[in-house]
Amino acid sequence: MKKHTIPALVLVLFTILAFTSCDMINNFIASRTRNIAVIQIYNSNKERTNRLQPNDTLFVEVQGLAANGFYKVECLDPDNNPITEMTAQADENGVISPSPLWYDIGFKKEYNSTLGRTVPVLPAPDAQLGLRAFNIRVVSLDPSQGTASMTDFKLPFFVVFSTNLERPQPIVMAGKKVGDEFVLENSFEPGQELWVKVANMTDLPPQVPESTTARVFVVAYKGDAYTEGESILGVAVQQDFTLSQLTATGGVQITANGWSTIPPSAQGKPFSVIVDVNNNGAYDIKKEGTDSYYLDGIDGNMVPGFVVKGPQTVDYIPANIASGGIYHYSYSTWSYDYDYRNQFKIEGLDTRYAWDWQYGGYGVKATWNPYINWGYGSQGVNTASLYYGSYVDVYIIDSQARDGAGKYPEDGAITASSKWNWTKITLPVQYSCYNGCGQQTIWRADGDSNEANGGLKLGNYDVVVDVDRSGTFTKGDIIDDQPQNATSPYTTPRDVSGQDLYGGFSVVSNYTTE
Amino acid sequence: MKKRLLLLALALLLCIGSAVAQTAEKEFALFKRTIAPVMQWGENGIMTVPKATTLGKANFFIGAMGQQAGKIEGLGLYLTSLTLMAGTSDDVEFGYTRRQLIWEDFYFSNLSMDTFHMKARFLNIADYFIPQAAIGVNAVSLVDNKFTSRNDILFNPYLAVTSTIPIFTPKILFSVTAVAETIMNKDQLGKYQFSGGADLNLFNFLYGFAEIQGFDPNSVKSEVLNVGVKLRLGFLSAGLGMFNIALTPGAGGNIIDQYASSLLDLANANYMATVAIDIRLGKKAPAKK
Repeated sequence: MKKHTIPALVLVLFTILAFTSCDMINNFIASRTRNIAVIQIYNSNKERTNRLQPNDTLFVEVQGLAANGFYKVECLDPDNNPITEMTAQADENGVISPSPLWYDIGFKKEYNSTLGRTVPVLPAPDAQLGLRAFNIRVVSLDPSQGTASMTDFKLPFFVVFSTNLERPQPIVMAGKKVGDEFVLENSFEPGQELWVKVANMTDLPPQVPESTTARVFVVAYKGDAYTEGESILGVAVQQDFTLSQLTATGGVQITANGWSTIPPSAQGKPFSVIVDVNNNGAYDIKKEGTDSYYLDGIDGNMVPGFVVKGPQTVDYIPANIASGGIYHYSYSTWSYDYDYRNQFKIEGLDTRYAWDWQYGGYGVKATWNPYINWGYGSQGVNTASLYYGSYVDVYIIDSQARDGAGKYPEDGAITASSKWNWTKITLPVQYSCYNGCGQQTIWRADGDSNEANGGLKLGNYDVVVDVDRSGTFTKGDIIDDQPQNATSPYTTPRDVSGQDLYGGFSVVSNYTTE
Repeated sequence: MKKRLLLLALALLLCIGSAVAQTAEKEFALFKRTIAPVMQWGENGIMTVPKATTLGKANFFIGAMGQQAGKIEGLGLYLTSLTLMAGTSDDVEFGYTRRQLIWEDFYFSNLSMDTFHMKARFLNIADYFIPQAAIGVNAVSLVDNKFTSRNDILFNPYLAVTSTIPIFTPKILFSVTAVAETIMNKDQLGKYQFSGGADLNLFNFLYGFAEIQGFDPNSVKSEVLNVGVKLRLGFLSAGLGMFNIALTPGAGGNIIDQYASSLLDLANANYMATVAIDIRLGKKAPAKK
């Protein structure tokens, strides 16, 4: 017994510390806690969780940073290969609000020999519990901070893909049929077939009146999140399918309402696909009073499910990008107005206040979903990681010469405007729908007209989306040099005679008529 | 030469065939480092791979581990783990781990994670040569660090088999371990993963370790190797390890040649350090006759 005296005393000491002095320990910890959660991850329902479903979006929140500091946030695989990346500015409290960092989470890259390109695929059978472990890294971008105060840290995280809920949320996927194979696709051309496949669904919940089918809606993308019980509006197609049709390996083709092939009227528009499993015409996330009994599924919540792209162009893609961010649905055209603007007032207070993305506040937003052409550049598939994660660089440049000659020279360097805060901004984007968030602030306004305070500065600008992140103008880059009301094929740059207003947008003291 | 011997031993004793790991296995290794307890290196675990051996009745273990996480605005951050493990019987041990991000000025952040551990040895015929076997589980919350609903807890069950071989004397012990494990949430299972390793105990003073995390006998690619050493003086021990060493089997006609000529890539490797206190109120259980 004697030889146990010292260990026993140590154990007693720890026991006393652990159990009889809890208050003291807690008080000590509280007094020594700098109340910063540093990095948190969320699912698209904004729940702090390590459980996500494939095809969900991973949001990241970072705290404890320098007020208004600029940062790069990366999602790295276990080999430290970037999966995706974004640049962000912390708010006045040093917080990067929950921001989408990884779209289509869980999809791996796989070369499809029939299509001749890499496509994202779900790597695991639906029924298997999947695990993904990765690091999130935050690095300061502001050179004025110097190395002494530099921020560079990373934390490991893991998420699991669980389907073993009371009733898991159906995973809805828009796609194409290649041979007998269903291939996930978010970018279509008019005349192509639209196919839909639902994974993670083994039953239909009780319906009133009772039915053996679920209703599939193809609706105009609304630019924001669907809330619980929200009515399904802007319907382009509605069609009923049985459970076995929806979950068939090869998917099921949309054919109703003149969509046996995608009609020309859909060109240049983004859509969402909703599977209304209880046929009540509303988007229901969960059964009332339950925690994990999910009902309807959607491909295109907060991000478009798919786009019908504009006509392919020879080199760069002219498009409207600069937007005020105040979307509204037009019942006259049955489509959304994306608030593209030729002019922004320098104060910027009449733009949407974006409160939940990595670069929030008033200011110029980027929105370019409806105009994507697939097939150029690397589009995020040539990263070293096995995971699919796509991101692009966005620049605001001084508007280029009006005559168009050599405006965007092939392989010429993209040089950001000296009036802008950034040299470039990196945005995670959804598979082939490059602007996954629908809109993101790319130039924050500060609410006053004094250029010395920062914010917008008077001038004429173009917006460039460097799709292949080459830093040069290359085939497939998307450039806004267009007037706000331009229509496909977007060939005539904005040039207001006699007013010295040209480029994709102008920052002005007062609006003028164009 | 040391490396060659170690790798040969690993290859031989784990019977891993053309063992390899792809990203899924590397992810599992990263996951294990995120949720595993601080092991009593060389005793109830290798480094992050659990052994079938247990602490023993009335023996306790307190271990701490830390790794640099970087810095925010010039202030360093460390990811720390503190484990308290208790041997409740000769063959059963329970543990709790608190993982906490702390600042270099010893302030806590409120980013923390709890993990619970249990291991039960069910085969203990002899101390040496004949393998011992145990099953265990680690449990971690998936939602906001809460353990109120079984649906919100991710379990990491495993089966560990360990064989200990005395080298001329019981004071020099060579031990090899193989582990099969998976993840489980409610009744749903994930993919099975395999790990293993070896450790050498010299006079209960100096320990050396090597472990491979996650390998798949069906594919050939690089694996993750962790290596480390530990010094022990009485109830106090301290260890230093290097983890995430990429191991690419080389060319060769057989598995031994492949592993003997394998390449080590330290590009993504990182250091880990541990300090541990053993509190031995009981004695190690004798093998069942």
